[in-house]
Amino acid sequence: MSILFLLIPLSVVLVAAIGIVLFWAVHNGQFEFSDDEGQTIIHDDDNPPKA
Amino acid sequence: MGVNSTHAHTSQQDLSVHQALRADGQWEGYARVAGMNCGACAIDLQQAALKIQGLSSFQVNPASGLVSWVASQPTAIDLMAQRAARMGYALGMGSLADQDVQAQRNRLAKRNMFLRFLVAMLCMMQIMMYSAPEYFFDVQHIGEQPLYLLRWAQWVICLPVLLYCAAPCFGRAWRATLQSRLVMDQPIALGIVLAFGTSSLNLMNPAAHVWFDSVAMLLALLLLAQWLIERQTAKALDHLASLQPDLPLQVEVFKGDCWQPMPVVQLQAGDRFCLQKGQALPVDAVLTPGAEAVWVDEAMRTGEQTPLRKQAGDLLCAGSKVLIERAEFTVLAVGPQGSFGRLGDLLARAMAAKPSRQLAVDRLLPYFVATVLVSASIGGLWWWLVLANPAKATEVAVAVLIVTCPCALALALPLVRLFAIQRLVDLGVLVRNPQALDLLATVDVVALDKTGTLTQAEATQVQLQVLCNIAPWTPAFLHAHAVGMARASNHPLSRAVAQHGVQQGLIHSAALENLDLQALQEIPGKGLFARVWLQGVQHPLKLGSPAFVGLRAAVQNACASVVVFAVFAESDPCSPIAALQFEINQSGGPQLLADIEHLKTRAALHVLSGDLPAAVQAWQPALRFTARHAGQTPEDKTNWIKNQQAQGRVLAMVGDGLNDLAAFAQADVAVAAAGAATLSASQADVLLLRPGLSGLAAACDLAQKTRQIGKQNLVWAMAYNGVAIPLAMSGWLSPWMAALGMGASSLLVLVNSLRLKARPT
Repeated sequence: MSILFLLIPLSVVLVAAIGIVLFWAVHNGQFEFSDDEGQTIIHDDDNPPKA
Repeated sequence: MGVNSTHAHTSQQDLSVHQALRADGQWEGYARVAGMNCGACAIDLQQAALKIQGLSSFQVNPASGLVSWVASQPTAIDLMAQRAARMGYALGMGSLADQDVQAQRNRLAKRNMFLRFLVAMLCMMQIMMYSAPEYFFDVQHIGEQPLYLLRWAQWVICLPVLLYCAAPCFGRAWRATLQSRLVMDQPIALGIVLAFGTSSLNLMNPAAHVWFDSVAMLLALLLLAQWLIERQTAKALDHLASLQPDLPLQVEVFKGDCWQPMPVVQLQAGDRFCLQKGQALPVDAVLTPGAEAVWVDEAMRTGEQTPLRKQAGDLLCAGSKVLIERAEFTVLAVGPQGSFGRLGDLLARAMAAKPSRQLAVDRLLPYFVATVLVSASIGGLWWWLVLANPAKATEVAVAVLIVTCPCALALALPLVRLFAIQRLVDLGVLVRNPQALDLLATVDVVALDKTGTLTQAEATQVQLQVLCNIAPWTPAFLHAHAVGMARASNHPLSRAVAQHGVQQGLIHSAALENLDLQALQEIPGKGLFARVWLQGVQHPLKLGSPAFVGLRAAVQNACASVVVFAVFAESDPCSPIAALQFEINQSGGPQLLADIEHLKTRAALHVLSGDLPAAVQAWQPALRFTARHAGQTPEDKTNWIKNQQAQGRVLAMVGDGLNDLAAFAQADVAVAAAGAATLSASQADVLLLRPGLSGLAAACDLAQKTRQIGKQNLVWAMAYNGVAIPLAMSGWLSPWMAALGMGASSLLVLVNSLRLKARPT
């Protein structure tokens, strides 16, 4: 059972890490314009404009 | 109401708002509000405004986030802004430059909202992992040390939930408390603080339970609902913004002796400037004298996509879109005097001034909150003082606060509305004001504007008949000239002629380009004149009603409209050498007929038309409306609606043009038909995106289903709370059961609401 004393603090650190990743992803706009992405496939453009 | 001067006002919070002095000495203005997240917030603000001296009207639109007001002194709004700031709302409009800052701030707020939800979800799942052993095994089995470890881990992960995810909820609860108002956030905040506080104290007490999982679950569910609703509102507003044309920020201006770029804001009356194809006029202007004629599109103002031909010297309103490669204009007026200033103001005011009807649930919520708070304290005190069990007292209080988390009650209606709105978008109906959906279910009377609203759904049949012709006027050649002339006019019959020719493939566009129509001139309501040179001879041309052209028509259908095209010899302008007759039958397709019959099972259908009585009665006798009212001015329409409302009827107005704006403001539900003028669309509660009434019929059906499911949700939430509160007060429910019950209750509401999204089979 003593392994719990290592694993549980480790999982807390993991949660913090996931939290930081989420912070980065949200403030980087990763979750915005999600509707547009699905439409890119029907735009028959060989040279898509660079955003 | 004349606006004499514009007064850029800066309040003490350094928030500039738009306010103008009217001719009657009252100040009128509009501003944006930040911090509103539900219909109840709008009611809070309106109630607060009642207490401000000198503020005679204050209207809030929760959907657009705009407020408008009328005040006797310019400073009244400062007091209101201060009061709003204390309540947690920021009032302000800002200049064009500030709008970027505002947009930036909005985006940041949206991202933070989403992040709060994600963090709450993440923490909730992790805390549940840590708390699971306690639910399934007893303390001896887990062992004291691992139990403390698990609880510490829960406490640590619950901290971000408390400090970050719950921060807005605490803020709103605190501000409401300072002003002695009751809002939904108070029992939630109190429950969270009590649950977290007692759990923290009991961290090292194996006999007591900790409720960190309940806290996290509560917030995750609340934030999910908030985020979903916010997302849907934003979608509706984005669509509206996309209807507005692209106004250029910079134009080429003729200065000295050359063309140079200049920002639009620096334009002065009299400046000559150029626009490229596709750009919209940023100011009122005249087409510079001597310049070539241009084609423009006034869809922004009229909702009419048809190109209009403008001659040199013609006045063009701001918002008109240029359809040719390059056109030269002279600025007529700028700023508040120009229609652009007015247009922007009108748009903002129209979006703000839509008084919202209070929902019964929103009104009940404070009482519900009070009941919860009182029940929690009675339960707690009872266990503490009467039963002398202080440990159990907190448990009971927390259980009452959590089990009755107004979640199910507060979500009961917003969720069904949300899914109904999403479903309606698929059906081509955009609901801007969610409350309109509730009203649509109870609508007794539907008033319909005829021209543009009903007529756009008509199927037009054109029959062509050559009356007489001689060489070189072949039927095809005649037809090409008729269509060429018809294109220059905006009259519905001319449009029918032009569309018929082009759409049926009878006329080649190349044939139209080669036409040499000269001196084209329209006599409004009668017809068009033109001249053409052919083989060295000039021929006058006429297109219009038989009376105008001077020909007797041979009509088959007495209800049909007739347009005649005739070519005359220059020597004899009375008897034509060649003539063509268009017999135009307008029939509402079978779809319109079916939709009208369908709508009639729900409500009385009245046509309110500005046309003459004979025309309104003769128009489409197959469509059996309840009544047809002719000769209605905008004031008549408004009075008619008022009259119906005075008889206790709920009324929906379907219209498209600017002349329907007043009726829109009066009607309970304003419905903008497809292709409505932007301004009308901005004031409408419901936008139909497809021509015809199918969307409205579907919306009425869905509104009723929404109401039904909403009622079921409410009954469930009420029954659940009615049972759960006594149970929790009597100590039968521990907080974990309460949290579970609350979760299940919310889940049931969610699942029941999801039935609305199912497509009917």
